[in-house]
Amino acid sequence: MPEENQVTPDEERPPFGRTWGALYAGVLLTLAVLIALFYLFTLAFR
Amino acid sequence: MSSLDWAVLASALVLMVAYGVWRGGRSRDLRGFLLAGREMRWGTVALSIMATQASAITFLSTPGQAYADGMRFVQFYLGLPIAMVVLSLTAVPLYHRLRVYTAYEYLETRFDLKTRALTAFLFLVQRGLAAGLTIFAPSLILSVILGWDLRVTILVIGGLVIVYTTSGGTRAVSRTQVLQAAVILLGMGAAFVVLVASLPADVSFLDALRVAGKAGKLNAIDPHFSLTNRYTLWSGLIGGAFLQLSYFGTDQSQVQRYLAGRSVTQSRLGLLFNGAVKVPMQFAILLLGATVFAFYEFAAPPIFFNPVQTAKVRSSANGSRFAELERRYGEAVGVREGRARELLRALKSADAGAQAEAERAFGAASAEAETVRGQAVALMRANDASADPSDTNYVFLGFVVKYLPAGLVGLVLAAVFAASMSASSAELNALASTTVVDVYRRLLDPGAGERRSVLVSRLATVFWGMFAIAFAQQASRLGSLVEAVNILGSLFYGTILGIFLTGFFIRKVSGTAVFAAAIVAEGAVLACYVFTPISFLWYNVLGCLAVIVLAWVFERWVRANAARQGALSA
Repeated sequence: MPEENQVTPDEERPPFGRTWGALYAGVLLTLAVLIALFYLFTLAFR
Repeated sequence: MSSLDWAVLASALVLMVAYGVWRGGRSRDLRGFLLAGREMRWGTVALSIMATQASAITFLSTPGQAYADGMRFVQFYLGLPIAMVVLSLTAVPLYHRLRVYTAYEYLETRFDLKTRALTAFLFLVQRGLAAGLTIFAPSLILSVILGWDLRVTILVIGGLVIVYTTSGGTRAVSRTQVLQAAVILLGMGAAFVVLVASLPADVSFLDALRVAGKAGKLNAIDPHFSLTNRYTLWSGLIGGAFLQLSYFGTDQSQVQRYLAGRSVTQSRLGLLFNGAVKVPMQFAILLLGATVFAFYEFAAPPIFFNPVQTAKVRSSANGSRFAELERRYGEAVGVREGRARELLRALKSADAGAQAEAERAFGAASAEAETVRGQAVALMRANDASADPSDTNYVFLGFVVKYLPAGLVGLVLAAVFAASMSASSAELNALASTTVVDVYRRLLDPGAGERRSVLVSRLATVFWGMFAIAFAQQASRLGSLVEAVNILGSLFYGTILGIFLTGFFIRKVSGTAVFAAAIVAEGAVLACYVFTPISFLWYNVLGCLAVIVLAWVFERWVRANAARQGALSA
């Protein structure tokens, strides 16, 4: 039952961050930083 | 519970339902009722996604899990940000471009009707049963800790959800989830503040972390690779990513949340916000549990946190033996408290020898207390073979009821109700969508008009709500079947994800090849579950990869056969 004849702008620019690629990299970088911090947390209180 | 707590809880419940009915409006077409007119901004999409995943069990069981097993459960969520990025790149633009109402519609566009029907059927069975558990699990904990009637608690949660979900559809669900997220944040935040303030005057929050760390509760990251260890960095990153890809990319209860976004951008931002915030949020909830553990190193905990089980054994023929174990446990935790204070003094000194000795003494005292507790649990089991030996689900709420001031207990309970209602409403909403779009309008009445379809959607919401309540009412009698239903999701997610990924990325595979591959892959996953000790997160990887590889092989085989027969007949 897909709706026909309606166009969604796929490649709209994100409202913050220059490109979608930069935004994706930001999310993955945040994950990497969190893992590093959690590991340091584990070591610090072991 | 004080009258102030009742007032806070009742006010919050009335507010949530009234707000849902008000903001839901009266949709007259299916797009409005099932997709909120595709008008949601990313903030609403993000909170809706998070509130759908975080059921009441997240807030009740997760702190208990940290109390018993430490913080390693946070690794379960490490694959989530990766999944959010992958879905933003693939599923979100595709679903928006096709303007689908459910994820399963895409499968007919890409493959055929039987593949769409199979996955929609699997979703209805699995999510229908899970909706019952979403209501049952917190109801059971509330009834045990507060002495409420289990049947009434289930009816209240289920009934309230049915009212606003039936009235306003997806718009009501998403708007109410924003309010519910605020109530949850407020309740859990208040609990954390009171917990830290309740630590003894001479024990700081950092001291509490030191004690929890020495007891092995702050084990957030385990970098060792293992197929059998349930939570490691690698099982979380790899297995977790596949699980979250399947859950967020193919489970209609989540897909519907971001399909309500007003554009690809708004849906993507909602998912990416979830990717950035979810892991620290889970860390905070686990840290709450680890702090509850540290709190009970300086305040005597009950020997077992499930008061119904302890009352049962106290009133049995084993009552005097249990009382003796409780006395010994009280002595043991008293010694442990002294050792914990000595440990803190040693850690603040520069004497490495004293630190090692204090750590050893603290470990021995903790082991002694655990031994006595283990004997009490064994006695409980000897007294009642059906008694659940785990009390982790009752740890956090037990603390809340005993130590939080009047008013805040009601607020935390409101947060538990809010979490349960937000997850349940999204499930009922998604079940109704799939029933109407993939079954009713596709197979039973393709010519149904908009108003009739909205009416059927409302009836389907009521039906699935009643089904969830009925299943929840029976769940306590089902015993191990409840666990089986939980495992069911993990067994099927990988295969379903494999079907979708094949559709996304391998263009030259037909519906028949992917259907056959899914059947074989599912058999392989079930064989792994029955015959191997492989941890369940890896089933998602196995099922998914098996479908993709087998679908490609089957397609090649079918084409080769067709070419051979064509050559023979020529």
